[in-house]
Amino acid sequence: MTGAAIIGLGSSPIERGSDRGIDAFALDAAVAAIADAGLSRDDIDGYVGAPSATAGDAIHVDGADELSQRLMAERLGLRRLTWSADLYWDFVPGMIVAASHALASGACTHVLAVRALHDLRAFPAATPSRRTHAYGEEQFELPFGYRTGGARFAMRAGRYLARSGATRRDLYDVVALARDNASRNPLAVWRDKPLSLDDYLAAPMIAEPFCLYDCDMPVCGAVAFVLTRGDRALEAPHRPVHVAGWAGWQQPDAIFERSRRARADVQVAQLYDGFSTMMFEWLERLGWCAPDRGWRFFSEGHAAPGGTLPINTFGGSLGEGRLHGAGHVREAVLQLRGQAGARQVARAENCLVQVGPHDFASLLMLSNRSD
Amino acid sequence: MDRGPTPAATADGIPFWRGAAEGRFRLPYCIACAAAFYPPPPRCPICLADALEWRDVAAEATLVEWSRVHRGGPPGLPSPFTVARASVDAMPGVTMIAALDPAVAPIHGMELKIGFDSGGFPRLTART
Repeated sequence: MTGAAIIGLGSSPIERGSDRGIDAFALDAAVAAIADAGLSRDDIDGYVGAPSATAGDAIHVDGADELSQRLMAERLGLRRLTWSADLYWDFVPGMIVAASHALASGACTHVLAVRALHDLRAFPAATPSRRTHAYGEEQFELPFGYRTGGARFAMRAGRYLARSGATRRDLYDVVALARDNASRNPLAVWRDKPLSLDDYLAAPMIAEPFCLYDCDMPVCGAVAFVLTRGDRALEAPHRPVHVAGWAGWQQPDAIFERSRRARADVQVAQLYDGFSTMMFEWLERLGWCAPDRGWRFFSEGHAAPGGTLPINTFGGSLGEGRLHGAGHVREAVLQLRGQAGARQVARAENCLVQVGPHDFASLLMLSNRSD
Repeated sequence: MDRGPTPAATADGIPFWRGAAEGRFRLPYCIACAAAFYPPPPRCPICLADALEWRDVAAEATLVEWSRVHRGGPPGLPSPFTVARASVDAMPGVTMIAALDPAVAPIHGMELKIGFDSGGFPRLTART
């Protein structure tokens, strides 16, 4: 246990493109999260973000496709920050961990955590880098289009399919489940848009074996959280969601030891699904499935509502839109509060969240129990 | 031949690109660890020695994974194109990302040759 708890939650609407700026979306979420925690902005003395824009052709401009702590504090009128950080490349679980550590150290008492994304119309997320020179790591990748259209993950996916015996028909099961779950999420961009197998198989290919629907939809949106120490969390209006444990991608099993929770204690999981094959390897690495069998977890129905381990009950990035894991953590909080409405998992006490691809990720165990 | 983005090489990468321009496949070796690396690192990632020696390496590789990309592409590389990862046969554990010759019908584990296009970029072709 880290001794920290999430007591406030707020979301902006999610739009595929917008005339509103990234700061407007972030303020929607932040204002809602502070009110949800029963606080006012002057109670906020900590802030954490992870503002990196993820598009290949991102312009990385504050207030356009990224949002710094400085600009956020200005827009929100925060004046009492005693601790703040932008973790830049990290994922939302990493923001929650950093906030927990800041609270444990006594650096602050109420942390606002915000993740916002914006798909600029002139620089759409699906566009690859237009740089004419390849610097750094790109020197050995960009000239070959390695990071175009998810090719980096598509290459790995193709190898996984060949090794495991899974086919694109099995990837359809993942996408279809995302659409089904999204139908119960009012925020989701793909809500009420079921996808037939024929339509899936007829969709344009992006990077083989991925078609259009194997890739999450770039969106504009934001999610915000308010955290405090567990001993103060009981004063909050909603049931606190405790940060029971965390882990990085190199030692993911540490999540169970640190949280003192076993796999069997986890009733629901939110796993990163920027591309349809990504969850297979994490289910295998975390021990829910044998190597090369993760795809069967979906085709056999174990990930669906009522299954062994319902996954991405809000539709995931494939169903809701590409909030880079912010939606995954939001859904964990809603499930553990018992506020997930039609998609509520019965008796959900512990939710595992994993955000990121195979070679860079952060994991969280959230719980509505403080022990 | 389509011209992709120009490599803005640091000191670690310059010997590779110079060799490539002459059609030579070269890799940096750590003498102490008897290992080569790609992309070229500033230090040996095993022992952290900074004295790496460039050597010519047999330009033979095995196809690990690939994707045919149908949308987008960096400047000079219009879609569709095929990007691949191949393991260098002479040095277990070393893989490289490169263009795959469109004439190759890819199969996991197939033998390939590492060549260079007119722009000096690595290109994987069928082994004959």
